[in-house]
Amino acid sequence: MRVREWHPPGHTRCPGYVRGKAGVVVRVDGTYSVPDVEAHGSARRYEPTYSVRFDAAGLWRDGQRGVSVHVDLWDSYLEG
Amino acid sequence: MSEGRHHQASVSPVEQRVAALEALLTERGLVPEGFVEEITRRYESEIGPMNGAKVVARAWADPKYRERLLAEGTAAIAELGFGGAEGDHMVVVENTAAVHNVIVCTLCSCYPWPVLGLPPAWYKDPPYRARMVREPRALLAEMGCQLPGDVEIRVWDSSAEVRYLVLPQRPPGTDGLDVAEDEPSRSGSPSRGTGRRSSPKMGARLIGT
Repeated sequence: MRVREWHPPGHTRCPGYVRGKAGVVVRVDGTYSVPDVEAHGSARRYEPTYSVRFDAAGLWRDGQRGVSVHVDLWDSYLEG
Repeated sequence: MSEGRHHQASVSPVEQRVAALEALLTERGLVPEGFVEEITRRYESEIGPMNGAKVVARAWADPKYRERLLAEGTAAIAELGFGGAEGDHMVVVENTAAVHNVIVCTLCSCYPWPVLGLPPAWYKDPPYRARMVREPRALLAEMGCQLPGDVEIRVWDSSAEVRYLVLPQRPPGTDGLDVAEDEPSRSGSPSRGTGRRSSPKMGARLIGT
């Protein structure tokens, strides 16, 4: 699973530091309103969210082994 | 000195703005009369890290509760009467001799209010938020939490709807204590430190710092 490499012009809750990075889903959470849609008007879109695990070595050039960062992401932030 | 007294007596621009905002919200019926005072009172006296400490103490004393807490955090925490805004979807992560968990919100300041209260200022500071995902081992050490090099670090960035609570390791030598005696508030004190304790503040410990 990989985080989409995108830079939407408006609001998002997809942290920049994981965009384009590969991770592993470790937990499936509930379905929640997508902030990117909600922030811009009365429309709502609901999607599942996941906790995705990234090894520090895959996020940073000098990322230490034995360190992982888990980021909670909406379904449309992910691809493949 | 006279200037100091002057400042105390006058109302600052931010206080004026807050008062105006509250008056407007009340006038337009968006919040009931006394609502803001009630919320303030609640967060000052009833909601704070003492609630999280009760959850942790119960988990240390009751293995079945610990299992429920790790499997279904929100429901297990509700058993003790805690829940609500910013605590509707709780996940509890457990520290062990081999794994240390720590919580951050890189995008803003998401925090499990019902069990820990409102976030401390340092939790909202950009340097904490940036460095905890970039170099957690170094930052934890600077905050007083020295971890052996072979301890795995799991950082949890609460970037969506889940809020996290860390279940610290039970300090050695506390097996005989009952729940009330064994809350992390006390066991986190220097006289009964765990060696993984970084701060006398309970809330800090329950997010893993």
